Amino acid sequence: MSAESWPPQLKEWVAKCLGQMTDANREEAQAELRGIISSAFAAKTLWSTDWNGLQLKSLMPKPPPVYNLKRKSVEGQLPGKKAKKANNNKTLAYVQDNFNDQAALNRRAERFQREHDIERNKAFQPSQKPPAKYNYRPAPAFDAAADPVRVVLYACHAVLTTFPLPQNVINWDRYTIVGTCQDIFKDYLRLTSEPKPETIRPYNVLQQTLLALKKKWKERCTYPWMCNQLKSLRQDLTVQRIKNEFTVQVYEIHARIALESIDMVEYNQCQATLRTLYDLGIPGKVEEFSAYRILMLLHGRNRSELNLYVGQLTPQQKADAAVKHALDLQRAMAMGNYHAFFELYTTAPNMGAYIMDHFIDRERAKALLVITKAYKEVPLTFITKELAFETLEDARLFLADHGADTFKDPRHPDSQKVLECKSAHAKIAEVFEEKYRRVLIKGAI
Amino acid sequence: MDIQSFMTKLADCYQNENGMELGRLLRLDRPHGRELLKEFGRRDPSEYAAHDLKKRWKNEIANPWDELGIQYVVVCAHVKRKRVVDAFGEQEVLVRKFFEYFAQNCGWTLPILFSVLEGLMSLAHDGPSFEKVAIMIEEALRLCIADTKSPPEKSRKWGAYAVFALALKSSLRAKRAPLCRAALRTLIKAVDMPPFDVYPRSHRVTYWYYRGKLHFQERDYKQVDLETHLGDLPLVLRYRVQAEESFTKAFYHCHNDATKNKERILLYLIPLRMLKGHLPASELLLRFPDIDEVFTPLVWAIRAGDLKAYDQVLEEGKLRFLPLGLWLVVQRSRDLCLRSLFRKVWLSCGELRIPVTTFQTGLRTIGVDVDVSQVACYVGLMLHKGFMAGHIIHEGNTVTVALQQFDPFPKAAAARPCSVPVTL
Repeated sequence: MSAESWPPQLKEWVAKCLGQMTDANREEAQAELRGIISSAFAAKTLWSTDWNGLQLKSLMPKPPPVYNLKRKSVEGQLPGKKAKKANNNKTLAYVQDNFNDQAALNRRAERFQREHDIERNKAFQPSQKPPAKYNYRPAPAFDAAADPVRVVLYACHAVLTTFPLPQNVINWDRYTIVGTCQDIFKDYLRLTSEPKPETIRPYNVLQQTLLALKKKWKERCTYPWMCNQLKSLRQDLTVQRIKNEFTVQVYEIHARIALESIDMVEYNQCQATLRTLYDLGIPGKVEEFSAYRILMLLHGRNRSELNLYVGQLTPQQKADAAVKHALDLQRAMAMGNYHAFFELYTTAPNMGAYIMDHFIDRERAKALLVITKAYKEVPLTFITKELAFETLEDARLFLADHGADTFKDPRHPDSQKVLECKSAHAKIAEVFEEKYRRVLIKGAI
Repeated sequence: MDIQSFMTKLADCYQNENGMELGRLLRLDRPHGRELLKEFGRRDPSEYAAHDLKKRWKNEIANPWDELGIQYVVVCAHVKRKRVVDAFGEQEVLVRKFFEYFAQNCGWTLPILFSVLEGLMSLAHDGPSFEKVAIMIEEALRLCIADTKSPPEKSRKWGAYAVFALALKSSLRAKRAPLCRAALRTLIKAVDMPPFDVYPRSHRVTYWYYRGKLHFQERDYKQVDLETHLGDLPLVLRYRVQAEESFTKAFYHCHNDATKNKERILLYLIPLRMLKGHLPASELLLRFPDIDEVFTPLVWAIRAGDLKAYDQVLEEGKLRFLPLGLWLVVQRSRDLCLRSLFRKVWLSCGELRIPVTTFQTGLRTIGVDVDVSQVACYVGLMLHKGFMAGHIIHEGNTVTVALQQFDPFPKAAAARPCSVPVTL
């Protein structure tokens, strides 16, 4: 079925374009080609378009580009330039090269294409297959639910490589499927062989599925079932190589639901995929998920990653309220400012609070250490308020958990209890060592 | 210099065991590299390397210098045409060839080793190549250490610390902790080495510098970690103290004229000491203008107790500190700023019982507007960290800070429990 779905004119045109590409414009042309074909596919104008008449913008002659590249490493300078190595004091160095040499240009483009691929693959989890090499073609058995984007990339590379052989175009066909299944709800089954079109739902059905799932979630269904449905939805998207705003939506929704249901493994998977989708330029709630990422890094106390991530935030990201919130949180934590921390907890935007829940107890214990050192005695009401407990009871239970419920008069009702700080402090310090020493994050990036 | 004279020189130096000169000849940042290529005019020498150069020069001078010479020309050609990937590849081949030779010879070849390794490092351009470099340098380290045949004064072991420093440098750059630790293990396991103190000073200083960096970053590689403001629990403390010790030694032993190196050390040393509550003296900062530029605004803000100014400087200095991994450290010195401010409030009050609202007013004067409970939290933090001594008391609706009579504001440095004297 697949082989017939591609018009011969399209195949010829693609071959022609490939022949016209040079190393300099290859990346752009590929991207353009991908864009045109996938939108035609989505709009079902594959057969009606006059492919011969189309001209790729990037293939039109233009002056050679001047590369102005930001390098992470300052040591990108060639020795011939007599640059001082590892000048850590300086800000990120710009490597400006005067390119008179077309061959150098080409090699550079190639190198950055490779780097780009490597960077992209870094976002994937270790459980997945080895990183994509230029002409690597995946075996038919692949875990479609894992990553739709890479499948797309494979397929595109298969078509748009240096050698425009007809069989590459045919291979692309091999991995494109248009489904016929009309079931709204479908269970998730890991793919072990090539998917059959009758089991895959086409795009329009998937859209209905999402709406139905959203409704179901509002009416309260179980998380395992929901997760199952979403995974199969993701799988169908992957297999049909649909990657657009809808895909982003699906992943965002699943991520949020996973957060709410404290499924960190699934959440991390979605987060990773979303990153790659955003990198391709597909719009979505980029800032919201940047904020989540910062919160996750705070949770994992991954200082070096945090350092790096904060350093490369765009001004647009930094201006967003959710990201600002996360950064304020980081500052509060750095200073140990528990008051600000808990205020930020109560005002956490989107689903940030769910991530914070993972380390809120640790922060509460830390705050208590400070409070019990500074005050001689302190009312339970104060603790409840400062540490954002929902009820006095919760606060008291927390203290009891840490062996620190030493009250002046334990027989008083909660609203009048006053904590004896000195003994409480000693107890909490002890318990802290055992309880909060290690952080385990499942499936984290 | 043309290729003929280049090759002749190689042969000469090799026969006289002139390591320094050979090292110089094989460096990539010298003008003679480019001069050699003039012979080829506009043709690309790398295209001829496989045939012509080898045909002409192979076996003209003793092996491996003929091949090394040829490789060198090829690398220079790539460098000239800015083909970094190819240059790196060819330099790798050169280094490998040299390793074979190096393993059979003694210490006079060390300068050459340094040159070729440095050349390799300068050509590394991306993640995988950084890793390759780190691995190769570790191999070089093993070759240095495993020298059993040479007489002790001429042993290859004399290069151990210098190469180790290079190994750390490249693994830090590659951001691969296991590589750092592998190099460290190799060094530690070495037997029969000359005592550290008799190594040349420059080797020792470089060693200390990179060791310091490694200690500094070790705290990230171990997941067992807690926020340090909590009174410096042992593990994190250990890394910081070790890092500080290393950097201090590097600084004091560093040659007086090596200003740039001193500055690089200070960039790490100063924030580490600030964490302990020691601010850099203005005399120190005046001697090093680059460092002065970076730290004076911070120090000034701290001394003045101006939180707002401090935050601003922090924001502006982000770009500088982030690549070094120092930004989070510098952020933590914020307490010192707060401490100064509160101390000023106390001095202007003159009393030991101060309502929290007074501190709040103090904050307002520098433009920081927060509510009373936040100020109480700040005071609590100061008390906890030992910058202030006393208690907070809730009396009905008012919250008062009762400072202790003797030394309510201990010296910042004394307050930090990790004041370990550093041995030079």
